[in-house]
Amino acid sequence: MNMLFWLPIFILLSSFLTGLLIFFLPSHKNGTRAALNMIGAGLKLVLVILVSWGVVHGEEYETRFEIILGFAFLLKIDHMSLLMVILSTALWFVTTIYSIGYMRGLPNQSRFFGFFSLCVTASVGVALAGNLITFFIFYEILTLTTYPLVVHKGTEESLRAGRTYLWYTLAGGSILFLGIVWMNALLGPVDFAQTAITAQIAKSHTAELRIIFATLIAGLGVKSAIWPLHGWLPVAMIAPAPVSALLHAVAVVKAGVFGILRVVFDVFGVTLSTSLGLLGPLALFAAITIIYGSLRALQQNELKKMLAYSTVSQVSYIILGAAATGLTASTGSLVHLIHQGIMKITLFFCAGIIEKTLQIRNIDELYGVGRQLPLTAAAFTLAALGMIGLPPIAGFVSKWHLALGALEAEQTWIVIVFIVSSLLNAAYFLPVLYKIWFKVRLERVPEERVGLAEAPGLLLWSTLFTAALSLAAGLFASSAFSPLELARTVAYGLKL
Amino acid sequence: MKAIVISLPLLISVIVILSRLPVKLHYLLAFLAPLPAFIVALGAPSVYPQELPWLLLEASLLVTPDRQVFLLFTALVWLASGLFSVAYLTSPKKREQYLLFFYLCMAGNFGIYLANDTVTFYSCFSIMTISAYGLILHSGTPRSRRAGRIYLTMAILGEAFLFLGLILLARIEPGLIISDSKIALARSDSLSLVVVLLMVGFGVKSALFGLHMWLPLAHPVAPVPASAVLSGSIIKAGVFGWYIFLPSGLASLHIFGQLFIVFGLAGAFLAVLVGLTQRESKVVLAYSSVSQMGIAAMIMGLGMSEAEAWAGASAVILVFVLNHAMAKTTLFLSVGAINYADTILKKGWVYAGIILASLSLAGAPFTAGYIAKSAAESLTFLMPSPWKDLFEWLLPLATVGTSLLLLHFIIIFKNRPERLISDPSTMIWISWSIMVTAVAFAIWITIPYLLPQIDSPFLTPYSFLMASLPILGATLILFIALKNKFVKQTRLSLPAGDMIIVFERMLFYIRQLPLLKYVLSRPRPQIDFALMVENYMDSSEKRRQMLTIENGIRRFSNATMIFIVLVLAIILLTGV
Repeated sequence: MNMLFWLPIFILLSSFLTGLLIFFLPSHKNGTRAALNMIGAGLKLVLVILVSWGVVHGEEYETRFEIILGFAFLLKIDHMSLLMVILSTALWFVTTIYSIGYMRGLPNQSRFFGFFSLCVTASVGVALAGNLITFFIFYEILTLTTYPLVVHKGTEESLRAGRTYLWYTLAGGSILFLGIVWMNALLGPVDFAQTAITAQIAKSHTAELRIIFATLIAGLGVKSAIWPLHGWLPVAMIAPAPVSALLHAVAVVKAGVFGILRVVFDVFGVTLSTSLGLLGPLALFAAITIIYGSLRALQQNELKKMLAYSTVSQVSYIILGAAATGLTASTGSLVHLIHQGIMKITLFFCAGIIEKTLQIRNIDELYGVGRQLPLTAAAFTLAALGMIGLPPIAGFVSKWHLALGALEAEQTWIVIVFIVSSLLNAAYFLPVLYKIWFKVRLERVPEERVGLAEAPGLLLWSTLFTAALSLAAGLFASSAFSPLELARTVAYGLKL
Repeated sequence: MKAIVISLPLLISVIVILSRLPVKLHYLLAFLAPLPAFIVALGAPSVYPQELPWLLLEASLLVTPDRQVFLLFTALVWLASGLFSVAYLTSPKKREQYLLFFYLCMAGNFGIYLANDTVTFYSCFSIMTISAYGLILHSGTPRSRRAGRIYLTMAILGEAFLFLGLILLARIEPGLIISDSKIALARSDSLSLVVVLLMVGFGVKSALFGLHMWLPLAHPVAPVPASAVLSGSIIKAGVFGWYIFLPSGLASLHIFGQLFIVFGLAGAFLAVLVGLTQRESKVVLAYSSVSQMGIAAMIMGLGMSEAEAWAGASAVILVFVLNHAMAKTTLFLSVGAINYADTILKKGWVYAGIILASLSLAGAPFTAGYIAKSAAESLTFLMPSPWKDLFEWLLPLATVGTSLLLLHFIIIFKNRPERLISDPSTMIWISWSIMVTAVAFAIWITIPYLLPQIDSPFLTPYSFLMASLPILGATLILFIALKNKFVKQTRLSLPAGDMIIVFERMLFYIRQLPLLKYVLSRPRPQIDFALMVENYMDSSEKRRQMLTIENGIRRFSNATMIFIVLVLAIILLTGV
């Protein structure tokens, strides 16, 4: 029992214990709660940096013990978990700061922040899970801990949204469970990255493996919002802005996609999935989702709803990249996991600031926001242009690798999908930017707010930080610590 | 130094928007921003590219003699327009917003000429494209909004073409270095596809005929100095894109060469015809730009179609584009400068500049345009026979067209409504004088490039006469036309942006299509499986059934039974 064993557990505990403590805090102790939150987030960040350093230098962190029925509870940090852990920890840190500012003065904060911490524990658990069953445990915990966040406002509408959310995710969870149990029945307990074992039975159990794959993907497809299982996502945007940000960028959607990546890369393996003909249909569904999400985003008038549909579309970039196969496409897919996260979290942060300070929710009413909230609007602009895939912002780097990878895999139609989607992204983001910057609101001309006073400091700073990250991730893409380099390392490790 | 050329304007754009500076400081910044570009343009070309392995996808910057020419005239255009802008825009608030886009656009524009790899190039190109939108939209009038919308739509479509083209290039040559990509492209199977994609992608920017519609709409609505940079330097970026990416000189691309020639000629002549029907000075100048860029595309085509013609053609393009940049910037600035001319002397100075710039564009003797035109003529000798004979007529005709359009501009300019702005600052005049001097001296920069290229004797009285004839002819034609009653009565006027009207109409009808209406309509209820399930179960019959089932499950014995069965099932499944 050494640090290699305990560190993954500490990483989980840092937010788990924080969450538990916060539940018992009286609602009015804002200072203590904020301090606890920051200590938890900071501690986790330090631990993750420590672990990352270790993994880069060849350390293997593994926590394994038997649970019932011969199942192993396994936490294991490989490069791919690192990608997801860094994403969730770093963005959790920022989102915590944002939430403290956002929730100030609102009721039920202890409940909110308690579940908030548990939710991140679950999503980090998803990242660290070393086999399907551990993955599933955290995946389900994630469902249960996000539900209270989605319905936090407690209004009729949000309760309904929460119900929809539960229906979808629990149904998805049970289908996923079916697939996992079946897989275990066929192969016995198998860890991730032991694709050779799966490949052994490929000849004898072709049909069964195909069905299992479909079952797993269908189960995971709910959270990763693949068409036609995406219905819950636009409904769930009723949650407070930081929750939406977390849901779309770090936790729920990402857990689903991360699961799909695990299934494709580490359970079946790309070679096997290709030879079984599994990736073609997956790519097709991803492509449909990309176009469908963009088209639906085009129709929205509610800013957060538009962003939600944009997530539906953007997250499938990741799946399509993985399904295209090949080193470059997989790199693009993995890096978009991070890039989409930082850009989308920025957009939701901005939407939150706009809603909080100006009480604006609809795109129609965004006129003149650029005048009143110039820095927020600038952050929004940056992230939106990045979503379209314009250089030198993060989204471009993803799009470049995804499209180039698709070409390398001789799948030209995928390139066309990406380009059409970019054009559609432009079609729904650019009018918003135009309204923000170039149209002036005629009625109720507001007093001008200049500089950093435009929004509460915590909100503004965290937004500016993620916006800067979105730019830096693209601008310094080939520097040593960029998401791209990390994604490259992971993709190399997959031995495609 | 190379990196500073790009980063300084970027930095200044941030400074400008974050703090309210006094005007004097703005002048200083406008002067400083293009300064590194001048230093690099006039310094020694680099032997090795500057590698920035941490930037973008391993960016690298390069300075070659031809890039220096592009950088030089671009820096001049931005310097003059920058000083002009600060004086021209008086409201501090609007000025800051404008200057933000101005400096961003400048950084992108400089970056293009230094980029040694595809991704750096594309990044700078995009920054320039997007920030130019802010310049066009500056005034915020309905007219500028329409122009901005059309510009942005076309530009984004162009970017998509460009992206596809560059991705294909990256597939062919993973190293991303532009000069290597060019060589690899010349040998590649996907040559035709990439050339077409790049032709269209850059063609939007360089206003290739058929893709030019945004330009006559954007120029009149942008502030005067913004039109100057649009025409003076931004559209040149498209030509530069063709110049460095297309594998001219490495292969004889007969078909694509002729495609460029045909589209170029169409632009050169048709733009003149449309331009002559315009009544607004900046629109006329815009059409003149379309026409001149048509000639540039034509020269591009000459160089493409025969591999051995490229050495000459590339030099002609350099000089042609340089001359056009200087002259057109001067002409655009004149539209603003005349309003500040409160003395007869200043008025005379403006007219002197206009006439000088127009003569240079028309290729009158002793101007840079003359050298460019003589060299272009020598190029046509290399062409196969039908073209060769055609060009003997086409080139002088093009000069007639150019001259006609510029004369038309001068007439409109002369008849403009008086509108005097009193401004004690001399900055308008400093920037104006910079441009006029540049036009006058452009010939000295161009001579070393072109002298070796010109075959025919061009410093003889005969050749001077031949060069002047089309200009004189154009003057005569216009003189007669203006006296003609018929022309006077039936003054045709085509809408600016000509073909865009057709597209707008088409778009209008397409939007009426039921399918698209359905897609664009908002908001519609979404498919929600969960809600469907809930509604299904809400019916009382179902609810009773569920309750019965649930009561059944709740009974302790049943629950235990189910539990045992489940455990057994799991154990069986896991194969214990």
